[in-house]
Amino acid sequence: MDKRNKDLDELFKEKLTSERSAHPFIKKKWDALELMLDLSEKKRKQKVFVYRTLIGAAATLLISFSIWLIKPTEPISLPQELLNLEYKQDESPDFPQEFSDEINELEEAHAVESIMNDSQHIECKVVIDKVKFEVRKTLNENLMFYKKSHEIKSSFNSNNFYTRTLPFLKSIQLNSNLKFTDIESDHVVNSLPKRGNDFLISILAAPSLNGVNGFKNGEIGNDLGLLFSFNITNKLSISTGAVYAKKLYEADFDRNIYPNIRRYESINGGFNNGSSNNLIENSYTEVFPESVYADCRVLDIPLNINYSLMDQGNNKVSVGTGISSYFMLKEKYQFKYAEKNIINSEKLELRNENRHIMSVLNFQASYTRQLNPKMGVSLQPYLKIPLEYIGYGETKLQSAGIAVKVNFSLSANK
Amino acid sequence: MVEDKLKQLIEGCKKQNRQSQQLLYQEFYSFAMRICARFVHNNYEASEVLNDGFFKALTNIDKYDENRSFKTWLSKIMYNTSIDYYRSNLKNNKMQELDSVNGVEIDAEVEKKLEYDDLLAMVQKLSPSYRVVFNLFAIDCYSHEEIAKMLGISEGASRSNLHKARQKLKQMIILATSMNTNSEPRNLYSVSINHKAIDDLWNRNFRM
Repeated sequence: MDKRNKDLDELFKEKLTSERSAHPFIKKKWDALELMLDLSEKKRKQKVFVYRTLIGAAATLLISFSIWLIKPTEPISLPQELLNLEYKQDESPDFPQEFSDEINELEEAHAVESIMNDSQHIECKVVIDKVKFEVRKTLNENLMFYKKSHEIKSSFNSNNFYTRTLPFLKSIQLNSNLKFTDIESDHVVNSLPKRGNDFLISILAAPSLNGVNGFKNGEIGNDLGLLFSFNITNKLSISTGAVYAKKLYEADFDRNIYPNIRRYESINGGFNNGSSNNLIENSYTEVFPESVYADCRVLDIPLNINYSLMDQGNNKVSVGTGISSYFMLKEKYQFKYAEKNIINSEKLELRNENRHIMSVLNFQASYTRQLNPKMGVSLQPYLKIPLEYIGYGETKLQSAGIAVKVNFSLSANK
Repeated sequence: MVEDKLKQLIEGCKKQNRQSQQLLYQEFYSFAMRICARFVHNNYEASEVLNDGFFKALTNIDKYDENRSFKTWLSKIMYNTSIDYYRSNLKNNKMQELDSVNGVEIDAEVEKKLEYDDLLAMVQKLSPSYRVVFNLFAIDCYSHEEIAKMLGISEGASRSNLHKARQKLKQMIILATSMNTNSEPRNLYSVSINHKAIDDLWNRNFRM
């Protein structure tokens, strides 16, 4: 039996590896390969262009940011209007003694910055012995408000501002947007104060419309995620996080992408049900699907930069852009044939096969309503445009939608 | 192919020159098909696997070491692509139990033509699991241990599949001898039998 097996093996080996047995060259097979090579070359050039553009943009941003960081700001002198004021102690019995001392010291204060300076008012922050004061004075009127940080006295009013009337002063309404920051050193602080809400954590939910080469045949999916934001300046913030996205879409079938998906139809009629058993060359034609339905579960890791256009009271409007990385957790493709009303059950499923690092451009605008100092709600329309072909299906998968976010501030109390 | 001409083609392929790539493809098409055709179910699939293999070869031509044989390098890529194809289609492949081959008519106009084309047809008619193990053991001379590692199966499964493959192939050859000899030859895969040629083949190789 062993010899017979060995003889059988030798027979097949000798005949099937013989160079005398030729397969004639078929030109259309080369045409198919040439198409694959052209597509690959195109994708490679696209990637190189995108990476070069991104590197250029990143370098520009980095250089600009560095220049902004190292550029010294001019110290701002105490406005003239606040110098040489004559103060007279209030003779009211309720007036705390220490405030009159502080008012006298004001003349020797160093200005921190000018917050607002229009034709009617002048404001500035001053530092006296590590204690920061915010001073506001209405021009041409003998009145002044000030607030001292760290030690807010119980006699202050509900806005935490002590208003008092000096003999030659009368009270006015203060700007409620004035804020204080702690002083960390005793030198003149030249930089603008950081605003509150430096760190934000947001929960995001969004319906999204997904489509290939436009949204004409778009399908609705949904996103759910967690984002972290950090303010780098008063106007600029960066955000990142993780979003789980369900992306549904329909695309045209491309046989180069799915080379094994086809059915064989007999030229004499009838339909071979997916198998190529007893296939005889030239007696069957190949039939390809007309479209593909895709259900992709994606982990989207964005990195965005946002710019505040308007920030007044409890309302804020910002715009942003950035780049996302897609990790294709699961891809499921179903193929639809045009004819014979056959419900095609051919499927292709993949898990964790594809990833697209920094390959999707993000654009968004955001309206935020602050509900309280710690919590706010945002409405954020967005658009995502891919820079390369996404997933096994190799499509230019675009997404758009409106996200609802609930934001929580992680900043310490001021 | 002359060594210098091959070197020139490879240099051209490294520069992504389409004409060089086409000439290289043409030159090694038959060689590569002889490898791929053994691992798949029919020549349609063989040409798909072939193109996948050539795509990998042409896009990674920079990795080819010119001190080694190009044919060896290319054949390794074709083997790996064929096995990858087998593994990726494991779920979709149907186990084809060859209970009967009634209706398969194999003719041998010339013993040479019979032996390659029809032996190839027999191998292609095996179920994928039997076919890949038979190819790797009987034709490519890998051990069961190596086959088990390549395919992610046990050595026992490799031995079992080889045994079943041999049984099926013998069955096909035996049944082929009992086919009607009056059919007109149609093409490589469906032709009438030359009894004498089959008997000679059988007696030479398989004594009952």
